[in-house]
Amino acid sequence: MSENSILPDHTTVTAKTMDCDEDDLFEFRDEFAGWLRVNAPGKPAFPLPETFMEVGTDEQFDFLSDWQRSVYEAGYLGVSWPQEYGGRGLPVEFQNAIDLEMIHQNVPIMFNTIGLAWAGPLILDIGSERQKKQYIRRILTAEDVWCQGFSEPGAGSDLANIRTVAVRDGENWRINGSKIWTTLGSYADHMILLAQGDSGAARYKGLNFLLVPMESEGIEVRKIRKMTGEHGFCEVFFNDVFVPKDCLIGQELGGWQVAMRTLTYERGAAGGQASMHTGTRIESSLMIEAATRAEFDGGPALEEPLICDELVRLLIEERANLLHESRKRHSALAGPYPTAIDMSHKLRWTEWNRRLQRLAVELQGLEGSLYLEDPDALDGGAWQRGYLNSFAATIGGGPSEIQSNILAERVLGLPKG
Amino acid sequence: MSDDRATAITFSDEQRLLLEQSERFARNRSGFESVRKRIAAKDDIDRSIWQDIVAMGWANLLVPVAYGGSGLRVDALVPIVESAGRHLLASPLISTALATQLLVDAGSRGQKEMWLPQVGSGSVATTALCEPGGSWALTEPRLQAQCSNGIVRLSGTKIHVRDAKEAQFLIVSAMLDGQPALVVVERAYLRENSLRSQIVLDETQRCYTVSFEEVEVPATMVLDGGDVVEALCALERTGELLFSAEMAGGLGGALALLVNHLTTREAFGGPIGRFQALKHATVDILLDFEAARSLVYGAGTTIASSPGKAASEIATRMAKAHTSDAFVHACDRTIQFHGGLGFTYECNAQLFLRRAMWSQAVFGSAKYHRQKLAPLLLS
Ligand SMILES: Cc1cc2nc3c(=O)[nH]c(=O)nc-3n(C[C@H](O)[C@H](O)[C@H](O)COP(=O)(O)OP(=O)(O)OC[C@H]3O[C@@H](n4cnc5c(N)ncnc54)[C@H](O)[C@@H]3O)c2cc1C
Repeated sequence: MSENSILPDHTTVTAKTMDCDEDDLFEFRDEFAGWLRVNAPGKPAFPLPETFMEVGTDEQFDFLSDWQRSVYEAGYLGVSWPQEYGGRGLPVEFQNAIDLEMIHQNVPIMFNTIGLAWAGPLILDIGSERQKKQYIRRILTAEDVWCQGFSEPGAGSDLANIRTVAVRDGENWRINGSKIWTTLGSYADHMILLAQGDSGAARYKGLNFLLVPMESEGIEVRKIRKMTGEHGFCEVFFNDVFVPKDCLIGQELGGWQVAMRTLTYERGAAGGQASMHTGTRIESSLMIEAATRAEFDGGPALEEPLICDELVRLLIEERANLLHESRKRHSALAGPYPTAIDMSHKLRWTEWNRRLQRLAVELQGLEGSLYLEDPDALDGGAWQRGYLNSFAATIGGGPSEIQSNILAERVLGLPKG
Repeated sequence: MSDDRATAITFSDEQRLLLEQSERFARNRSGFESVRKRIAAKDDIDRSIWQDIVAMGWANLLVPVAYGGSGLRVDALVPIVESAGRHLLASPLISTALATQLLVDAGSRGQKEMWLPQVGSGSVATTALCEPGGSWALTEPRLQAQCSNGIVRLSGTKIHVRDAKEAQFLIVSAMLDGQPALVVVERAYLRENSLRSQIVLDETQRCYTVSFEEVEVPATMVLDGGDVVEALCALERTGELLFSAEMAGGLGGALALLVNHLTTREAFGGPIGRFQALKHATVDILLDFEAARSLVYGAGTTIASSPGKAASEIATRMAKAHTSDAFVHACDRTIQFHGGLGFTYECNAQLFLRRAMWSQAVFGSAKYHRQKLAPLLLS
C-alpha cells in the first residue's frame, strides 16, 4: 500500500470555512490586539522556548501553561472549535486573526501544540462523543498536555516499521515497547500512540492508534539532551502498560489512516487547529534589526554586498510565502498544481527559517562563534541557538527530504521510487 | 514584512475570465509546431495571432475609456502575458502595452487623441529606450535631441527595440535641453536602413537596433503632458511586472515539459521520475514556480492599487529577481534531465531555455534587482 495515497483529501478538511464578515473580523482582531497589549506577559528572567519542541525546564512549562490558560479564559483560544466542547464556534478566520496578531506582537507561544493543533482536531474529527467531552476543553486550558508517540529508534521516516505493540487483553489494551524523540514527553498527561496490533498483518495494515494516559503504570520517561545543550524531547518506555478499551481512536487496525490524518494537521496541510502560534516565527524584520547591530570584518554587516544579496533573496522568499496565503484563497489562481501551496507549507517555511538563522550567525563575523550566555554574544547568542534549533522543524514532523518525496509523488504525479 | 497590504492578492472576475480565455487561446494557437514555424519565418510576425489579439481587445486594455479603450490597469494584462509565456506565444502585445503606458502617462490630451486610438485599432507600437552599454535604468538616456524652429532633431542609436519593424510608431527616450524627454517617432520619419535585426537567443523574438541619426520630427511629437522621469520609472515597474509574468508562465511550461519527460522516459526498468536526484530537483522547481506566481500576482495587485512608489518598486523588483533566476534554473535542469535529447535543437526544452535567457536580460537580471532592493529593504 502506498504511504501517501491514503492521506485525506485536504480540501474536504479545510472546507469548514464559513462566511464571515470582514468588519466583524477586523473589530475582533482589534479587540484582541488591545487585550494582548494589556495582558501579554513580560519577558521572564529565563529564556523562553521559541517553539513547543523546546520546552525543557519546569519554569518554562509553568510560565507557558499559565499564559495559555489566561488566553483561553479571556476567550481567545480555540475560538473556531465547537461551543459544546469548550470553543466558541466562530469561523476559522477568527482563529487565524488571533494567530496573526500573536505573531505580530511577538507574544509567547501556545505550547500545548500537540493537543491544540494535532490531537484536538483529530479527536473533533473522528473521536467518540466521550473522547470529545473528556479531552477537548482540557487541551484548551492546558490542564491536559499532550505528546505524540510515533517515532521509535528503528522507525522514523519509515514509520510503518514501528515495533511497539498494543494488543487486546480482555477489556484493555496491553502496550509494550518504546518511543523516542517524544516532544513534551516528561510533561504530558496524554499521548497519541501508534502501535502494532496483534493481527499479524504487515506494516500499514496492522496498526492501532490509542489515546494513552501518561500516568498509567508501567510507563517510564527519560529526558534526552539536545544539541543545543538543553533538555528537549524524551524517550518513553512501555512495560506491560494497560489502558481501557475505549482509548482506541478510529478503527481497530485502522491506525495508519489515523496517523496520516494527524500528519496533515502537523504539516499544516489541513486546517482545524485551535492555534497555529506554535513557534515564534522569526520575522525577517527582527533579523534585519539584529543585523544592523552586527559587525562583519570590522564594518557594519549590512554594508557587505554579499550578505545583503543573500538576505534579499531570503526576503523575496518570505514575501512569496506570505503571498501564497492570499493567493490560495483565489481558486482561479490555483494553477496546474492546486494542492502545492498547502502541501509544501512545512517544507517552505522550515527550510527558509533554517537558512535565515544560519545567515544571522554568519553575518556576525567573528562574533558568530560565540554561544549562549557569553557577555559579548549578539542578543545573548539567540541566533546561534536559533540556528541549532531550526533543525527541529526540518527533521521533526517528517524531514524535508520526505516532504519532497510527497510533493513529487502527490503534487507532480511522479512515480514512487 | 508584516505589511498586510504587500502580501495581499486581489483577483477580479474580469482577470479570471482573461486568464481562462488567454490560456485557451495560447494553448490552441501556440503549440510547439507553430512556435517553430514562427522561428522559421525569421523577421516577420504572425499576423493572424496579432489580429486575434486585437480582436479580443487585449491591445486596447490599457487605453483609457476616453480614447476608446477599456481603461483597465496593468494587472489585467498579467494573466494574459502569463498564459502567452507558458506557451511561448510571442506577439507585440507587451511592446504595444509599454508604448501605450508612456503615452497615457506623459502625453498631452492632443497627443493621446492622436495615437491611442491607433493602438485600439490594431497598430503595433513599441518603445526605444535601451542604449549601447545596456544600462537598465531608463531615466538617463544619452540619445540627443535638439529643438529648433519647431523641429526636433535626434542623434544616437537605440538597441533592443522589440517589434520595431512592425511598429507604426516608436516612443524614443532622449536628452532634450539637459532633461529626459520622450519623442514619438512614426515609421515614416525613420531613415532608410535605420533598422538592423538583432540576432537574439530567443528566436521567437523580433528585436532591432534603430539608428535615429538625423531623424527629424515636428516638436509636437515630444510628449508634454506629464512628468517624463516619473513615466519612465513607472515604465520600469510595468516592464518588470510583465516580463516576470511572462517568465512565470514559461517556468510553468518548462515544468510541465519536464514532468512529462520524467514520467515517460524509462531507464533501469522504469520511469526516470522515480529517481530522487531528479524528483527533489523537480520539486524545487515546483516551489520556484509557485513562488513566481504569487510574487507576480502580488506585484500586479500592488502596482494596480498605486501605493507609494517604494512599495511598487519592491514588489516588481522582487518578482523580476525571482522569476529571472528561477526560470533559467528550471530550463537548465529541464535540459539536463532530458539527457542527450536535451542537447538537441529538436528538443523543445531549448525553446524555453532560450526564452529564459532572453527574458532575464530584459528589464534587469536577478542580481541587478537584488542589488537595487538591498537599500529599499535593509535600511
Ligand atoms: C525536535 C524533534 C522533535 C520530535 N518530536 C517528536 C514527537 O513528539 N513524536 C514523535 O513521534 N517523533 C518526534 N520526532 C521524530 C521525528 O518525527 C523523526 O525524527 C523524523 O520522522 C525522522 O525520522 P528519523 O529520526 O528516524 O530519521 P530517518 O528516518 O532515519 O532519516 C534520516 C535521514 O534520511 C532521510 N530519509 C529517510 N527516508 C528517506 C526517503 N525515503 N527518501 C529520502 N530521504 C530519506 C531523512 O530525510 C533524513 O535526512 C521529533 C524529532 C525532532 C528532531
